[in-house]
Amino acid sequence: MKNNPLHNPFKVPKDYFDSLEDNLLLRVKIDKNRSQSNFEVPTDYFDTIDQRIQLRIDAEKNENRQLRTLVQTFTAAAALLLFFLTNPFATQNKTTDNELLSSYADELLMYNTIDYLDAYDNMAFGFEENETLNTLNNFDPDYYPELSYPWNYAELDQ
Amino acid sequence: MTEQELLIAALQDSQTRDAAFAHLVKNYKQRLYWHIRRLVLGHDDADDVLQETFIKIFKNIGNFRGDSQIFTWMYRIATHQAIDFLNKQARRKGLDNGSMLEDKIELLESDVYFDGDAAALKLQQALAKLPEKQRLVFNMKYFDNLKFKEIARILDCSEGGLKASYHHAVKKIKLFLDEK
Repeated sequence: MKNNPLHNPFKVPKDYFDSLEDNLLLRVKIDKNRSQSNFEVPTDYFDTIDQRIQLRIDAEKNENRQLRTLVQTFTAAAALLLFFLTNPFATQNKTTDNELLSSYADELLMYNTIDYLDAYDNMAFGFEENETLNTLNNFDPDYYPELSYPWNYAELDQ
Repeated sequence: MTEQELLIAALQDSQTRDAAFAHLVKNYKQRLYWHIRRLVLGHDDADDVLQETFIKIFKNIGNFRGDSQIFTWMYRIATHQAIDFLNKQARRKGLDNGSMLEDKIELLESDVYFDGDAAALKLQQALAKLPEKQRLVFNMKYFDNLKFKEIARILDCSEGGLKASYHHAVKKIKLFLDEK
C-alpha cells in the first residue's frame, strides 16, 4: 500500500468532513455579518477615546493620592494616640493630686508654702519685685516689728 | 529585548508609564472595543466597559509577569470586564443573561449605531441563546480569528474543551438559522 503512488499520505481530523458542511453553510449564511460593519460607533469616537481614558486615569490617580493622604493622616493620628495611651512614662506620671502631695517631703512642702505666702504678701502689701516680707533666710523682725513668724492671718485680713 | 518586553518595562517604570500606556491605548483600543462590543452589544455599554478595562490594565500592569502576550492579557481583562458588566446588568434587571441579551437585541433594531439587516439580527439572536462559554468561544474564534490556544489562555480552559464548545456553538447557530 505504501508503495502505491495513488495512496494519499495526508489525513484529516476525525469527523472533519461531517462538520465541514455545517461550517461552510454557516459561513455562507452569516459571512456578511462577520465583519463588525453591522455595529457602528459615533463619529470621531476612536479619535477621542484616548483622551477620555487618560482623563479617567488622571482622576483615578488623584483620587488615590487623596485617599493615601487621608490614610497617612489617620495613621499618624492613631499612632500618636496609641503612643500616649500606652506610653509607660506617660502612665507612670499620671498620679492623683493626693499621691503627688504625699510624695513630697514635708520640708519641701514647707518651703513651697512659704514661697506661696511670700507671693501673697507681695500682692497684699505691694512690695517691689523680689522684695519679700518674709523668707526663711532674710526675715528681719526689726524691719516689720508688728509681724512675727508665723503670723496670724486672721489679723492680717482685718 | 523584544518589543513587548520593552513596552512592559516602560509600563512598569513610573517615569515612562504614562507615555507607554498612551501607546498601549492607541494600539489596542479598536481591537478591544470590537471584542467588548460584540459581547455587550450597545455602544454606550461597550464604551463604559472599554474605559473600565483600560483603567484596570493601568492599575494592574505592575502585576503583569510577561508569561503571555500582553494582548492576550488585555483581552482576558476585557472579557472578564464585559462578562462582569453583563452579569451585573442582568442581576439589576432580575433576568438571566440569555433573556437580558434577547432584550438587548430587540433594542438593536432601533439602535442608531447598528445597521445590520434581518440576517445580522438573527445571528445575534442565535448567539444570545448560547451558553456563555460557547458564545465567548464563538465570538473569539469566528469574529476575532483567535487561535484555540490563545482562547484557552484567555478563558483559562483546555483547548479540547474549547474546540468542543465551538463545535456545539456552530451546530446550534446553524440549527437556529435554519429554523426561522
